[in-house]
Amino acid sequence: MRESQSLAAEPHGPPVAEEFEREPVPPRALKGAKSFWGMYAGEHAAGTEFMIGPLFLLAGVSLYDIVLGLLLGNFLAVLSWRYLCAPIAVHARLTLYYQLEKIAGTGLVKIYNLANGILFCFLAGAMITVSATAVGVPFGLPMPSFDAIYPESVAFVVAVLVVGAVIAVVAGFGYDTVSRFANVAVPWMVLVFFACGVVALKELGVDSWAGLVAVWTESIDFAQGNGGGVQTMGFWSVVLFAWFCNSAMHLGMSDLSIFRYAKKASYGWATAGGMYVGHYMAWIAAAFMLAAQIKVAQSAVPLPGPMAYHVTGVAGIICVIIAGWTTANPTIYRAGLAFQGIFPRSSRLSMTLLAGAVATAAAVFPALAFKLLGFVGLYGTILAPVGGIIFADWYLARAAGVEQFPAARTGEKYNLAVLFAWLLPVGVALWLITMHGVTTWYFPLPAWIACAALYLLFRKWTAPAAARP
Amino acid sequence: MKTLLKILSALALAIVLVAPFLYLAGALSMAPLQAWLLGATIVWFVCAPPWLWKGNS
Repeated sequence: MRESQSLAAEPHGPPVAEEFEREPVPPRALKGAKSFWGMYAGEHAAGTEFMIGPLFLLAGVSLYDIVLGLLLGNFLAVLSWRYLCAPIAVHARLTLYYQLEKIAGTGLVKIYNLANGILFCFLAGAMITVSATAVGVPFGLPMPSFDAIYPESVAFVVAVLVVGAVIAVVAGFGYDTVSRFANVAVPWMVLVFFACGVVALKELGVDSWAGLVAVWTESIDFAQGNGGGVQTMGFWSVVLFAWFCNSAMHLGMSDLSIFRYAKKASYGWATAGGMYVGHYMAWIAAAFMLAAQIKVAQSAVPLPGPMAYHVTGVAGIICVIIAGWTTANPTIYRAGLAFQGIFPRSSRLSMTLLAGAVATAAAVFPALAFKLLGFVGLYGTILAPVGGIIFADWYLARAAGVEQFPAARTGEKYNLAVLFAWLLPVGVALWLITMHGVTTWYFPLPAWIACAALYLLFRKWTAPAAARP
Repeated sequence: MKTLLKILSALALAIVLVAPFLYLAGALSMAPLQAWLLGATIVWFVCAPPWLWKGNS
């Protein structure tokens, strides 16, 4: 997902180089800890952070639950990177794709690529929507309402199409330039996120924790009485969301591609930079922005552009645009790479533009951004379980009497044990989500465990005798 | 020249960090705060790329 030539160069996800794609990273290419701290802090200062914090408020999360739930959930995410993903990465030093190919077979990796590419497109779509809300502020464009599923104004659609086209074309032609620009922007961007929170706090007009809790509760009451819905998220729901919103990266082992460059597994702690800057400070700051908007403008619509403009002026608009752009750029690029993995004869440019077109089409629908919490949970539910197979293959296979890297040994293109071990838990999860309305971020861990166990079971049953260890 | 650009860049970041606290303390009103933030943003994007861009390569 994020094959890197230079970790330090590409904080927002480094998929540029196809270096060491099919071989372990050699010692001379390893990176120091500083590269990882910088990369993760930058990568998680994304445009979508401006959406997630306000969505907590709209979901009725209490201030205590946000402050403590995010503290714990982000810590669990860091532990997952540190103790599940990084140790395998620094021993195998392979990309996720190659390691999975050795287990699942070349054909099955293409199916994973397809799922990955499509989900990346939707994620990038949300980022484009976020940027479009900022572009719309100076032009006075009508913004979508919170309960909007379909686009509500031609002008906003045009803004989305223009922003999406620019991002897609730049991702196709100038990915490296944008990723360097992102590196330049990150220190400033993180401070503007912080500034948004401080200014919003002042706007709330409170001088004590009790006062803040009272204003926060009033904001929830206002929001839920004005189309914000009545859904509530409690402490554990916040914990699980924070833990699993990037589960495709840690439980799902996508960041094997990153940590294969680490000298030591302890570099996994560097993910704390991303979690506590982007998924703690930025989410809380963004939530305060919505509370301030509710208090001052009596509006509970969580549009990042107008919210940031309200507290930090033009600098805030620039921040939302850059945060959305610099994270949508590598996301579209990665989606293009994933599609190219399915159609190897196609050019990278054409696949990147295709991914950009899909992302832009998705961005036209504001519901994608407004339902971001559910979407990132779904993203983890579908992709994270694959990491369970990698974990089982790495740590448990021999003890369970199953050969390690079976597809690499037998040459099979579709390891059916992998396919069914992945599809069954994900299928059950999707059924519970769609038919019974169960919250999406409850599923990545159970599906991951089930996937790992089922894989060992199925493989033990189906492996040819010659392939057994 | 590079040293000057680094100093100005650091100054810009310092303004983005400090100005909101001045606003919080009531020492700065909203319009000047937003002007300072915009000014610091411009300074950052003018002064940081010449030395930070190269370091990315």
